[in-house]
Amino acid sequence: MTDMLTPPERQVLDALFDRIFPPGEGTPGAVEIGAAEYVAAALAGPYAGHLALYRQTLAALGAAGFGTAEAEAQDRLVAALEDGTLPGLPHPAGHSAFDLIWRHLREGLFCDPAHGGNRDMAGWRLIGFPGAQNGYEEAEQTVGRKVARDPQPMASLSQDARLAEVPQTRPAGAPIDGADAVIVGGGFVGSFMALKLVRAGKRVVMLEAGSPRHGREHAMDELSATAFRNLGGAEKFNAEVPTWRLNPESPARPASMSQGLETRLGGNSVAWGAVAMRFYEDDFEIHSKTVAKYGAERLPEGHAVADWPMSYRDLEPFYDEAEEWLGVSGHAGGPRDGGRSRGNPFEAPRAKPYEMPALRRSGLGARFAGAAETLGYHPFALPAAILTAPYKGRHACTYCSFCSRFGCHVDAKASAQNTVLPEALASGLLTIVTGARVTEIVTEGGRATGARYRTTDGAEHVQSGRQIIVATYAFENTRLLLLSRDADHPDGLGNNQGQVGRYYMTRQQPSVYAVFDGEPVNRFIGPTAQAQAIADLSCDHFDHADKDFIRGGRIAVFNQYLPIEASGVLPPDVPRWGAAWRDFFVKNYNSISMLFLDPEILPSQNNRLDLDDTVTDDLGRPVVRITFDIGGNEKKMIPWLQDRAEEIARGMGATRTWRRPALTGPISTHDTGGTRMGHDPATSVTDGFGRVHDTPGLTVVGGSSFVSLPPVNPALTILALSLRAAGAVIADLAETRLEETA
Amino acid sequence: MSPDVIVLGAGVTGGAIAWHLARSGAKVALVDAAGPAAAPSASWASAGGLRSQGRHAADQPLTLMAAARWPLLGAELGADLEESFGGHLHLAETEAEIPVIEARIAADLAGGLAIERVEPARIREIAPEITARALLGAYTQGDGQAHPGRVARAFAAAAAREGAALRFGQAARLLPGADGVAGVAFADGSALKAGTTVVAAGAWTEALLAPFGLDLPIRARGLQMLLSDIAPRDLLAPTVTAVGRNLSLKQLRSGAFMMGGRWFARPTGRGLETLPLDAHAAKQWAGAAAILPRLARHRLVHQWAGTEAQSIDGNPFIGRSLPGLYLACGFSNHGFQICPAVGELVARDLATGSEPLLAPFATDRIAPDAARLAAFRAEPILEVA
Repeated sequence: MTDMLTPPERQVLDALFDRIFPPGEGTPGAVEIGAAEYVAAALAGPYAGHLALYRQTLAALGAAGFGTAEAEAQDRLVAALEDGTLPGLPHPAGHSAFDLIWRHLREGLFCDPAHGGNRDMAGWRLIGFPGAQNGYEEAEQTVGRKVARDPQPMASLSQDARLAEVPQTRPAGAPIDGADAVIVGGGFVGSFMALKLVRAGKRVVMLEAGSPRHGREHAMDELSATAFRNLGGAEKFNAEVPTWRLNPESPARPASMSQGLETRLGGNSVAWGAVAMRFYEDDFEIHSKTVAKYGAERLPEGHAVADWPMSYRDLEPFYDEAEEWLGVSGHAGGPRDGGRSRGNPFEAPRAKPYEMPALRRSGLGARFAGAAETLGYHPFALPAAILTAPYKGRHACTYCSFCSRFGCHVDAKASAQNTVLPEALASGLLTIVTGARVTEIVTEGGRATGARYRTTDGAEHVQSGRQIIVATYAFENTRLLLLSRDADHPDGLGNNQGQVGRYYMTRQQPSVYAVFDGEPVNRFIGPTAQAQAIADLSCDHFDHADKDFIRGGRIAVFNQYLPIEASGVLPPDVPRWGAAWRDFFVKNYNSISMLFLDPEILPSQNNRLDLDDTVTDDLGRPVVRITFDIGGNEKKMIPWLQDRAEEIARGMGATRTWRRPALTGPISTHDTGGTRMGHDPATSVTDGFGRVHDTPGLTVVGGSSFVSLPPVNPALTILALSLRAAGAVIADLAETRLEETA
Repeated sequence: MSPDVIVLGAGVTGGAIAWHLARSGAKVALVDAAGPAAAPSASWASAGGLRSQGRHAADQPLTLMAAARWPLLGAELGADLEESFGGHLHLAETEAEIPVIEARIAADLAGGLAIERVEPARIREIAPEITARALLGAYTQGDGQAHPGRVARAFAAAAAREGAALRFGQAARLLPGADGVAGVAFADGSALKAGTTVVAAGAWTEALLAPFGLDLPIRARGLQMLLSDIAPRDLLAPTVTAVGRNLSLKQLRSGAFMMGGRWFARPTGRGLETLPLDAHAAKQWAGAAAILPRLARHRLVHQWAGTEAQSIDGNPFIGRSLPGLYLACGFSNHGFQICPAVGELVARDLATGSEPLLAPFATDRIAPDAARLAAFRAEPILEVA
């Protein structure tokens, strides 16, 4: 391994790392755990782009005499490094040198040993994290019981499951003749659309910008699932990260991501947390129900609240179908007569039970449920697209530690690859083209007729089809429309009424953290979605007559607590370095829980997506500019929800709590709106089937269609909307055929 | 440059043959429509038992050779094969079954195997959680388990390191030569020629040979496996089978229990794909729970089926056939453990022209009449209770 650092630089790095995470009494420091070695090696590999920053930073510390200074002087220099006042420090855009180095140090402490850090799993041993385990037994999720397992690296995992093969795709080249439908985007939405279309006998070409994969990537590897994704791992999105401003008067800066977005085959279906929950009945009539009950004056200033162009009953059959395709586990809700139901009492009526029982309740979930019930709430297990029994060749959940952001090692978590794509491909009617980056929707006489795409070697082609379906993430759905212009659509397709990009909504994540002093909660066991939640404070499930806000949010206790990320989660009074940080984290890693809040974000006139004329992607095309701030309703509602969450946390036995800010920013993975659905072309971009009002032959599906953002994970509704839209595409294809033969 | 030998089929048998050939200096191409141990092949699906006991006399020299190889194979291949050597335990649960165990022990001792007769107290030591109904056992200490998919991938990778060419991802058929087989023809129209083509294609062999008028007495059958949720590790060291049950049961490194046996699965009509039958899964699980009572408290988490080539007399067909054609197929139920020996012996046979240990498996050793072969192939899938 080439060491890119000189011996003096390495000496300063070692000294710095052992100051940030110092050795304790009988416990190893960062250098002994291998964190400095990891970073030094990474600078010759994946982090070569950061070498200059390290050199400058180490030079600045060296010039200040860091290597030979006494401990107190070293602490002053680390403080100056952290607050950016050390002379000679580099100041990269979007983060500080300390932010980056701190992140890399934590990777070196707690990554899988395959990456070169966490030597002999010493970092994991220190905090009691068992690493890559195939799964855990139910009893191991008991609160108060320490898990008695030796840590294990990924390399020691057994490969018990026998799973299906990689979906067959073809690399982008010349276009394919005879396509009935062209789907832009090989994610969940487009894949569900594709299966529906091929079942109706339609020939489908799917254009995916990224590369093929089986969907089990990054299983059990916290480092590759997070660091490399956010800092250069995602193939397309990182080249076109949107900018963000709070309002039209503020300057836009590069948005930082709470989570990376997946831009390879399967899209976010590989990385999602898999909560698969339907909207509530009144979510579809949010405007009329609110006005009827409380009066129009209760709608907040600057709102853009509207009803959806469909009812729950219209969407219900497609929810049923989507749940069957995914294999959703859950307990049906309804009234709790006699205490028999374990489901969500507010759940919309369902014609069918869930495909299989819910994920088991963890000890932590039971703790939450007990506290919630004491407070009069009705806790329930979140339904999830995670199997609890064998289903269509997939393996049931093993309750391992790696779920949201990770490919599932046994296909228990639904992805496009392990649900719809095998059947769609087996039909012979679907061709998945990878490495095809769509840059424009092509029209003829105002009608959409194809998609212009760029292959990985830079060649451009147009894939023609009788129906064009845009099925990418909310940002790219919006950008593609805005960047596709013709004589009939001078401001972009769908935008003749200036509606494209409006009413963007994104989930805020104002969680409440809770410490259970000295008590192992084992939150690192089990999928994220193995959660207990309450919906008593969602929507209009409680009376708002005496409140100064409308609507509400969901409070839930989720699993998954992985050490690279967790070591960055600190209460406000704990510093990011030194013995105080080390001691807090080592002591509390397994005693911290989080009450996750999903507040409803109302559509607002202020919040929208448009093009940033000053920032371009690697092809020289403008990136999306996000204008987003929380409004008056969220500013009142979120702190109130946080108060309620803290009450539950105290009921659970938390010894201290702290909370995140109400505004956590955009790119939340619940990014929605931008191509709003509606009946009226003057106030929406598409109809309720995703058909663009002003462009025949063009359908847009995905989270961008949303009219509002209920306090529910959006994925299941997005998939149901895609299946509903597919019916309209099939009908439109039939009509086109009639015209052609007439 | 055309290879000396093409091996068609990258399962454990084909992979072992390709690796041994390449190691001995032959120019080899390993060809598979998908890749090593691809679904729904036997190597993809197999439960991965390494069992030396209870084999046909002709198999005993091979199984002894292979048993000596297995403990070193992972190091030789430079791969984790998930191998472990907790032994194999065959049980009698009734007085009537005891003579079967005794007969197996006698036959295996005659063949030179280190097989032990184990009484209930010793059974309890070997496998403490086993049913108290176990009256007598036949125990082979050196047996164990490994992961067939990993083994097949390791063989292919090792063959490639020895210079073998890997041609995966395209369907291939046998290319006719002057009076036999000249190589393989790929779906895209290209061809690869070689002096010898080894067909190690399991259940896909029948279709490959049909254009040449060859009809080996084999049949394709889907066999299904079950997997339980995770238990504490190291509860069950040996693989367990029982005289009176259609079952093999083992605990994996993860702590999960795997149940195999010879339970037939349902053909789907999509190629040779088969799917587990729930009716069989229920009986399969019940049988396992009778042997290991704690399974009554566990859950089924995964089930699958793979399609295997079963030979009419239970023994494989290994050896020359038409000019240019060499066969190695029909291994169902006993191919995995002997695959290192088969690889070694086939490589030697191809080099020397005569390998006496393979003589009992000659491809023309039986020519069953049409009625018997038809009945063998028509045997019902569904077990009638």
